[in-house]
Parts: sequence; structure tokens; C-alpha cells
Amino acid sequence: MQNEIPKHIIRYGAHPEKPFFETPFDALYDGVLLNANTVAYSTRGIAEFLTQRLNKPFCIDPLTHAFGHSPIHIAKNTGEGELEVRAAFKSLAQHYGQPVISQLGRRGLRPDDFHQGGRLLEQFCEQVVHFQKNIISAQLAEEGDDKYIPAQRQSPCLVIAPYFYMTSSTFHFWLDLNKSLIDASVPLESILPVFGYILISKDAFFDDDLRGELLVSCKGTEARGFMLWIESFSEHGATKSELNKYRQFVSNLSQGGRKVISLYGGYFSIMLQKYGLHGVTHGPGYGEEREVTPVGGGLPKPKFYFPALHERLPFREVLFAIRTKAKWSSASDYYGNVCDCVWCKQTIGEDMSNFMKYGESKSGVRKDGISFEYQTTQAKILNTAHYLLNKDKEFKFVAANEVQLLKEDLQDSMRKHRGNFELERLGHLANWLGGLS
Amino acid sequence: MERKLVKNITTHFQRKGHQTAVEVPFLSGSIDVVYKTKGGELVAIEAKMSDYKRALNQAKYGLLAASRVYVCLPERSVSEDMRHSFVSLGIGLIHADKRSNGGRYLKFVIRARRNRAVDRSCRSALKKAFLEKAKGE
Repeated sequence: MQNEIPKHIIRYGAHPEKPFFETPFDALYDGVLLNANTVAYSTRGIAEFLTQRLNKPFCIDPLTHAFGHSPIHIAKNTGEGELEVRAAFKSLAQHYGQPVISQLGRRGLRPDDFHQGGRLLEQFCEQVVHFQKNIISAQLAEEGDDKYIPAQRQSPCLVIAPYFYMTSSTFHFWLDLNKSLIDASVPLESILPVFGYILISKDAFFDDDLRGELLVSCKGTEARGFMLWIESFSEHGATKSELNKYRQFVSNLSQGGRKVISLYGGYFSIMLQKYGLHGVTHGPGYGEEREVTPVGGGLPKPKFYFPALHERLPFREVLFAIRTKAKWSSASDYYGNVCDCVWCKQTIGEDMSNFMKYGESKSGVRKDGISFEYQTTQAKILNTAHYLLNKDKEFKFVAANEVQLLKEDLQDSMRKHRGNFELERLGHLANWLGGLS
Repeated sequence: MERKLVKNITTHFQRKGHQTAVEVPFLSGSIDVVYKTKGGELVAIEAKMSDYKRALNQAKYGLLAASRVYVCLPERSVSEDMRHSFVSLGIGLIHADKRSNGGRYLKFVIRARRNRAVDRSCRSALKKAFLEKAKGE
């Protein structure tokens, strides 16, 4: 029996995040997405984690785009003025073979690299799909654990064709190749659905001509669905026009039963499930938008997820809004007006001063001398748990209600918090309303 | 330039016998100057060379914890809009007079309103951070 394709997906970013995927948080999402470099480098730990500690559909982002950039994005400084490709990517390159290996550390791949004669493109697709489909089960077989774990749990719920990043200037170089990679991958798999992966810069995506070409290209494949990542696209900073275009693209692409999954999405994307979007992915406490580089890594900033605004805000801004503007001083004020999730009730209890725990931070200094604030471990746990609980609520709320009610809810939030936050914190709600129309 | 302004502010209040601390960590940021009055109240001051709106936006978090909050800017004219912005928040305005020195360096242009909505836990956090900083200076 095939795994169902999940709708609420959490991206596994780093090993310290494991506790947020396990009990009690495992009830709050449907599936897991892992990066291929992490899987290649930590196969044994990941296999055990996925098959024995979680019981969730999973899929692997093949991260082929990483080999299309300058090698500095996947390399580290050896300290002797030289760059060395990071071990996780070296490991992944070994799995993918040519043309990745021959250019590894020298330059990023180009479409021409796949047209050197023979079956190079097809073989590359075979390697990439094979890796996703078999890496976990192969690890379990090596350890002799495969006998004890149902086959369904050893296999991803879908596989993704190789893909490369398209910007305004490189769009026409990569568009045809990306389509060819999908076309070559689809026949490789008769059981698992094969998905395409759209990774595109924001300016390219919102160019009407390019977006039109992209849609035609995607619909011309036999992919059962698409992962969608519009680089650095912030739902909170987007214009009404951009949100409309995003909605229409998703709606159009999902026609014919194609499943479209947003890879870095927030509440607006969750609402787009009413317009054809199948699922939304985010990180545990972050990851509702992302730049293409750095490839992996980055330090999430300390913030508190304010449910009514569907946005992570600097803690002190939330505190100022609650205490100074709204003058909500008691715990019951907080539960009635901000959040009544199980985690907040457990953390705050009857004493509103406990809300300060969400904002505990420490100071650090970067190598370049710039000081920065980061959450204490305890604050990070509290904020992440609160975020995950609210994300789950959002998915359930959207699933249970019609679009009209979702719009009224946005309007209520704007009215309620008009006096508590600056306009720049509320504007996105109005744009979302416009984007749903 | 802002550092020099901060130094002048602290010198002014130290000469008046107040305990002071600079860059006091508070709620993932820091307050440029905090001084303790003889009555034991904490006063927060945000120092800026220009851009009063930005200064107010940063200074306002001091309202969570300090008894009074000020913004200190180099001397310049105060428009009606500017005055209204300060008064509506209850934040005071101090001008740093370039020509004079010593105890008359700072001029209180708009008095800060006494802050009666201080959050207890925020005040404790600020007090703790202030004492730690003041000890080290």
C-alpha cells in the first residue's frame, strides 16, 4: 500500500530539531521532508529516526540545484585559503555520478553538461531517483533491520526529478532541461508518484511571460505533482498582485489532479489549499520563505509566532503590543486575545509574567565582530512548540471552513489589532484578502 | 558620534549623583543609557544623532520597564508633528546642546510622562541587567 502524500509537511533541517518531530509533536503534522545531503551523510541515523521513531510519510529533496551553483556555496574554507566541498555534498555527488562528479568543486553544472552524448541525462535521473527511493531501505538491509519494518515505511511517499534553479537571466537556459529531467524521470518509477520541482527566483516567477512559459512547460509533463519554491517570496511582504498571481498559478497547475506542494509556505499558502494547493512545507519554527543560497544552514532568528497575524514577530514587539498598547495584563486576557494553545497554558499558567520565558535570549558576537541576540535553548523550545501547535490549528481551521469565513477571520484580526501593532504588521492581512479574491 | 553623545549623557547624570549604565541588554536589544534616580526609579534614554521616528520606535520598548523614557537628539527645532509623536507615547525629549558643556549640556525639551503601566517582570529584568552593567562600569 502506498503512503498518502502528506499535506502538512515539516522540513527536517538539522539533527538538534529531532525532538520537534517526535511525541508529542508528531500529532501536529503529516509528513517529513529531508534534504538529500543530510540523508547521504547521516544515513544510518536518519534511517533509524524515520523508520523507528517516526511513523510518517517522508520524501527527500534531491537538492540537485546545489550542483548548479558556484562551488563556494557548498564548500568550506580549509583555513589555508582554499575551498573544499563539504563532506555531505561530496557524499551526495558520489550517489549521483556524472556529470556531477567531474565538475564537483570546479564549477556549477550547465545544461550543456547533460548533452555530451550517450544516455548521460537519463543515467543522471536514474541515479537521483534511485537514491531517493532506496537509500533508506538499503541502509536498513545492511543492518538487517529491514525485516522488522514494513516496506511502506522504508520507502518515500514520492520521488522528485532532478531540477536546477531558474532566474530571470538563466530561465531559458534551464527551462527545457528541467522539463527533460522530469520527462526522463517519470518512466523510471511505476509505483511511487514522480514529482517535478520548480525552483525559481521571485522576479522570474512574477514576470508574466516567464510564468506563462513555466506553466506550459510543467503541464506538458507527466509529473504527478510539483514542489514549488519561489525564492525569497515572503507572503507577508507580497503585494496583492503577486499573491493573486501565485494563487492563479497554483490553481492552474493543480488542474487535472496534479498535486502542488509549497516548500516554504505560511498561512496564505495554507489558505491556497482551497484553490488547489495540495500541501505546505515549513521548518519547525521557521522556514516560511528562503533564499536559494546558502545551501542549507543559517541561524533562525528569535521570534514569537503571533497567531492572529500569522507571523513570527520580534518578541519585544509582541510584548509591547500586549502590555503597553492593548493593556492585556492577566493570563486570561492573554488566552482570550492572543493564544490559548496547550503550550501557552502550560507555560504561562495563571501568571502572565511567565510569558517572558518566550523572550529569553543571550548575546553573541560573530567572527566579523557583529553582535547578535539568540534565543536561549529553553526559549527556542517554547517558541517552536507554540509555533507548531498554531500551525496545526491553521491547517485544521482552513480545512474546516469555507473561504468566506477565512476572509472574515482575516478582517477580524485586522480590526482587533489595529491599535496594537503598526500598520506594517497588519498590511499583509489586507493583501491576503485581496490575493484570495 | 552616537558614542560621544552617550558618553555626554552618562557624564551629565553621573555629575548629578545618579548611577548609570550604558548598552543595557533588554528584550533582545539594548537601551543606550539607563540611570537610577535618587528615588530608585529607572530612567531609559535612547540616543540618536538624527531620525527621531526611528529613535522613538526603539525607545518605546523602554515603556515596558522604565519609570520614564527619553530620546536624546542633537539640538534642532521641534515641529508640531514631532511634539505630538513624543507626547502621545509619553516619551520625553532631551536636546544635546553642542555649545555648552558640563552640567548644562542637556536640555529637557519635553518631559517624559511617569510610566504607570510598567510590567513587573520587565522591570525586574531591566533592573537586574542595569545592576550587572553598572557594576562592571
